Amino acid sequence: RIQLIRRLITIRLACDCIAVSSALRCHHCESSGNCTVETCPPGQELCRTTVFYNREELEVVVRGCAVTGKDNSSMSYRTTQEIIMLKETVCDFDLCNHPDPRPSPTFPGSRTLECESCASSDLSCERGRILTLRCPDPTDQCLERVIQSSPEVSPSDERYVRGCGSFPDCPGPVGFHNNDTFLFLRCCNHSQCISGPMMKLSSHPLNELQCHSCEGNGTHGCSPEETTVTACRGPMNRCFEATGTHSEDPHPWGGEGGPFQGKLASPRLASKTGIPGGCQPGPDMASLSSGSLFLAHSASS
Amino acid sequence: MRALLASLLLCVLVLGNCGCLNNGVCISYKYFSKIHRCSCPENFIGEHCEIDVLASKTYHANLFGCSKVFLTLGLALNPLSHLAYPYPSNISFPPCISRNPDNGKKPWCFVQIGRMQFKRECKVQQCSIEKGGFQCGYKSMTPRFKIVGGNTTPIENQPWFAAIYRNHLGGSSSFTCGGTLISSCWVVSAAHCFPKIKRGENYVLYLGQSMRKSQTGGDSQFEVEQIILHENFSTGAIAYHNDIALLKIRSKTGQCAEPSRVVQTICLPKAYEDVPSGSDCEVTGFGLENQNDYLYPEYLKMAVVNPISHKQCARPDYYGTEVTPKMLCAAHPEWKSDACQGDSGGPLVCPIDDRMVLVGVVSWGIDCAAENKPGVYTRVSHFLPWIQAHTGLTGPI
Repeated sequence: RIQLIRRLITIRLACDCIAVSSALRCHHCESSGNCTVETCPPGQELCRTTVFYNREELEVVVRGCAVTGKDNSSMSYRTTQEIIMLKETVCDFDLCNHPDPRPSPTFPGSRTLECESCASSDLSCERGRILTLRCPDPTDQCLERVIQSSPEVSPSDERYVRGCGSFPDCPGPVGFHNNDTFLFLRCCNHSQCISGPMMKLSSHPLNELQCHSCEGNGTHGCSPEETTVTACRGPMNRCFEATGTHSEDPHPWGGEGGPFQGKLASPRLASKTGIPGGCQPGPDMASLSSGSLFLAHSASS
Repeated sequence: MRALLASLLLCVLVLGNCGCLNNGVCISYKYFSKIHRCSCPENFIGEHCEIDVLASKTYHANLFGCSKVFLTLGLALNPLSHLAYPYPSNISFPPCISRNPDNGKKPWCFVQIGRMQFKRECKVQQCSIEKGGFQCGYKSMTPRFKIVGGNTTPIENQPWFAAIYRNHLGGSSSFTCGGTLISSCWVVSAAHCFPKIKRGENYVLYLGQSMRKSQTGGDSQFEVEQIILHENFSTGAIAYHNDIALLKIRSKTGQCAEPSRVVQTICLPKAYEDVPSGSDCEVTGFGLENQNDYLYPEYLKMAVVNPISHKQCARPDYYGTEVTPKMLCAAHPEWKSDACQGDSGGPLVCPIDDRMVLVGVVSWGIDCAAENKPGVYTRVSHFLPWIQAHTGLTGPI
């Protein structure tokens, strides 16, 4: 975490001292394979390579800029029809996300960790049709991830996933909920360590804390009419508010329309403007390793 | 007007949903930079849920001639996917293969204009070739995205691949080697795959299967009626010489193979014809990984390799005199291990004149991954007279 802060500060200083023309340049590739070079906007100091792969036939690779503070992550899971693998890697120098002319084995297979897996896109989690998945990546852990919001945004994300993966916020648990949104991630490191029925917000008991709940805009915050009270549950035992900006890259749990958005990971957002609120895990529960969470804490402190 | 249509289309393709058809649902992974996919309802597969699995079963009865697809509304149509893609206008599709699952007058596709999709007949010319026959060297799918290096591939991408199993006394069978369908009744494989043929071992062969474990019988299963090993097959210090075999196949009802979306013949090369060094060729087989490997060891795998000149392959630091002109060497230029995945007897196919041609049969090699030790294949073009003599096929086929 200390390294991260130092890096963010360095970047900030660099931004202040050097003219805008020194912005990072990344390869920008569409899924069709057309590539150009793009200059990253402020707050995006990383290049990314994002891969979607399923065993049917598809490998989709897109490249571009990524928000500062993002880290490598991967997730794989199975539905009843297919196994889906997602991977995003970031790097931090000019044109470092170079398109490899040769396809390289993107998902090496040499690990024996086995996790329960299902997804809500085919209701396999809801119906308890849970299968076992052998994790493709040596750094993978078993994970459970929830992204729920109401009203649901379109196109939606996977509302609930159980499978393999590695996120900066592992092992967690990290989470957030208010009256409209529930985000949750937890990971663990031995086979089948996540099992049992699908986790719901209501499966967490109330924990006596209450927080204001709203999702306002950055300039005006939340009006009193929009603000309600939410009763916090489970490990989410701190009140929380954060501000962000709508951008291409969202926070680690995804969830467009959620209370904190992509640029939360940018250091200049430490000042409060908007006031979305809700419950969040206390520091004893939450991993402090990631940029996003670091900033979430800055914003709430 | 054309520019407007094009930009409308671009809007829909880029900004709208993922273009999911047949009630597929778009899933957008926010944390993975909104990369998205279509979650398909049962019986639909494909990038856009455009392939109707049930319709595909009767697909081969509905083949239509399609030698060239023309531009409509500034878009080329992809008759294989039902979905309009902004393909370059000069793209040509395999003749005599088009999707027409509803038995309409002509192959058809969806054309997307704005947010609406319209069903349009392809403007195609009828081929002169007989409907429903084998069209060697054409795949019934053109994957829009590259197959991951050395990873799994659906059989549609290698529809000539045959899986050969040895029958055991107890009624079970085990995977032995790969092979390649060269005509409706004949499969080419490697001679070294059949060492115990004189002891009465018998074999069974499957076509059109992407998975190794599913031996369900049915249309795809064939008995091996006859195995012809090359009379001069021999084993050198490390090399196999004349490592080629022909298998005559027939189904339980005495039929040979029929063309379909998943079964197709490969073209044979002209006698002594060579592919240029450096061509992108494909080697296919069931991977060598054990059961503990994650990535579906039971699934068909493919890797792209480049042929190496005989002169280079016969260098002392390569294979020296072990390699003869009747063999062909091919490898991944960076000697990655995935460059020679694949089992013995399987195909090495290369594009020649827009068709895939059987250039090699997987034969031998030292340590798949080792530098300067490419995979060595039986050079099929040098055995063309032998193939023709034993099968009665006139070539090139």
